Amino acid sequence: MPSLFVIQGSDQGTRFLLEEPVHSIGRTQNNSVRLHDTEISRAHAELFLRGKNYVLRDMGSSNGTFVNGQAATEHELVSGDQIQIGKSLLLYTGFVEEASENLADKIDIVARAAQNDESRIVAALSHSEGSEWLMPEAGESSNPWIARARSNLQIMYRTALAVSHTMDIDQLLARIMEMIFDWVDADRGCIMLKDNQADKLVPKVRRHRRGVRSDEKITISKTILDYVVEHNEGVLTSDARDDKRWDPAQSIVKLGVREAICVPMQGRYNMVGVIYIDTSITPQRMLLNEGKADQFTEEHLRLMIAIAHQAALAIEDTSYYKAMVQAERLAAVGQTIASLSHHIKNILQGVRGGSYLIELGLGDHEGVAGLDDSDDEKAAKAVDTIRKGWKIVERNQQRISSLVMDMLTFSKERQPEPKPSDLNEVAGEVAELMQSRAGELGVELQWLPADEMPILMFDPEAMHSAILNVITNALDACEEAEIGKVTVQAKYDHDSKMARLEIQDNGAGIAPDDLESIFNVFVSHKGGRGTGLGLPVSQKILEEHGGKITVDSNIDAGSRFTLEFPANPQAAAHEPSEAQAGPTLASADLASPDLASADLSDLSDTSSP
Amino acid sequence: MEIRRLSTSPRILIVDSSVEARDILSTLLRRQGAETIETAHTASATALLQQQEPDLIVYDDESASSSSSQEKLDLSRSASRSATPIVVLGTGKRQIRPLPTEHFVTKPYHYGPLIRRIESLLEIRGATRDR
Repeated sequence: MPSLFVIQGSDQGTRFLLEEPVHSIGRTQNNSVRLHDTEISRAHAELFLRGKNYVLRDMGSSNGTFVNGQAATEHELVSGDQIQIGKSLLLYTGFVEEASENLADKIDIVARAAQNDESRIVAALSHSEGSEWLMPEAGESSNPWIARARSNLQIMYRTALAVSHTMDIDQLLARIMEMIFDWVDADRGCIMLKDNQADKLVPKVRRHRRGVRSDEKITISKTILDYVVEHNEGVLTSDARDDKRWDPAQSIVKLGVREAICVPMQGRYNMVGVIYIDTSITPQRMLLNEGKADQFTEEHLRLMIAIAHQAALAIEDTSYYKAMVQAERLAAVGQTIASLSHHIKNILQGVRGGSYLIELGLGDHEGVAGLDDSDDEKAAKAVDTIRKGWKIVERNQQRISSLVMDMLTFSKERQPEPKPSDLNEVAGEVAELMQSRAGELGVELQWLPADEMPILMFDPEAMHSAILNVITNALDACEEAEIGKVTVQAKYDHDSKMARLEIQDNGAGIAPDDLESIFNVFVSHKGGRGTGLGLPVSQKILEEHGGKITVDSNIDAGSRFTLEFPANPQAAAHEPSEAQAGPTLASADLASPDLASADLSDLSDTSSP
Repeated sequence: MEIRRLSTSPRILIVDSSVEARDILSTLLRRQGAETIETAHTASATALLQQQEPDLIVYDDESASSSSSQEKLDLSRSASRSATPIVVLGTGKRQIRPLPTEHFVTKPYHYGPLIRRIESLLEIRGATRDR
């Protein structure tokens, strides 16, 4: 659909869809394209459809209507036209031409063998070498005009390559300056970028021709700069005294600049800076040059404008990209802070509640103790209140501790420290640890170790945290179940050599829409209780072990989380300890004899008697 | 520090998805002589409001975030019709135009002032009823 997009002005970023055959543009409310710009007339211009294009017509506005910089009373618009009205700059996008034929049917990509295609590659060229053919060959006696054109084309090609190869603005500017000096015989040059906040040009790169003193200051005429910035035009000055434009200021003459080129760096939306080069021609050089001083020509000026435009586009791209990255970074930091504050606030609320109960209990206890005939029942009640409060404080202290540990695990580039470990033992410890919490919630927690579990290579502490997070979630999910039950079952699949831990609950289940986001950091579906870090941390730990967590859930029927990771064959070389009831992997399972021998040497201290 | 006991035995409905939060508030209110009813869900709170006719509702806006806005609106309107005060516990994002029966308390709050606020609302409600 055709549209007008506001590039500059108070309504910057607004897109007006052109759905009607006629649209009015103005600053009052009755206009379908209303712009909040005091330099626009109430009824400034109108757009009307003529065939497949909109025509822009000025409605006798005070400040006029301009299309691509030209005053327009009536102008048929084409996609890409820029409309300037008042201080607002609008970009017009027209109807998209519908493809008259399905090109997918007209172009076939076929396997060579299938079509007896005899084509073969006769030449290949990387895109970095693409400009080489533009280089005039040594001893080539071609037309000088063609040689110059080739040289110009080559510098444009190299500029295009330079701007596409770097995201670092300083590096890019230095490269462009270098290329300009390779191509034109300039003595000094610099690139200045516009500082929008300070509204001034700030020098970024400077360059001197070899042989010219590099400590010499580059002096640029303010008259030239002001003209370039104000008119957005590139200028070539070869003799200021003959040029009437410089009459009001004699600085060029005073500063002794004989020839200079100064071009605006005009991007897609704004002028981002200027490129300046100059050369001083001494009388000796003039003599050598047969009296000619025209070191710089209009051709140089044209090419400099084109180079500056390319550079400006790259600078705009880089700036927008940086701004976008920064905005995303700030949004992520904001979300993290908001999420952490939320969880800490809930923990704090619990601590306050527990502390308040302790305070009340202590008050009650003191009251009872002060009485002559102490009431045992009241004293016991006071102790109960204290105990209850203390339990709440302790639970929340544990919560904040888990939050901090999860944050550390999630944030640091932590490498797992695998060592021969028993998954039955680690999961059994977690299940035992969680029995008291299960009891508080009135949930049955059942632990079913695997009948056969080989010693595996994994980080037992990290795996402990991963299992703990998932079991905690399972217990919380059963909080409102009539008879809550969580089963934790370890399994080992000898065929796939995968260790699995299934944690099944009969809780509320997870809605299908929520399933996709449960592993996202800071996403919690547990109300105030969840930190949104538990599952992402567990997933990270399993992934570090080459494994994963999968989930299968049904609303009101419960969820099953499966933690699985591959057995490390190196563990097979480790002899089972006496305490280890399960069998170890047979040495025949080893994928590589090298691994086995390496492992044996590593473990010799612990496995040899 | 010490809170005087409520003169009558008011009935207070606590709506909060956190068992711990309900437990703390319920323990504190019962110490003051109140009778408490608890629920984790907004929808069942509206039903309990009609069946049990509590004197006041304490509603945790954040933990009940899984509730739909319609459920919240239904509860607010029902409470407004029966002139039952609601103490809404939540973050700074309070409603622009709360109903006259809604009273906002920003988290994290201290329990002492919260209990006193509840007492004072109950006293006002008692006085209004007596008239």
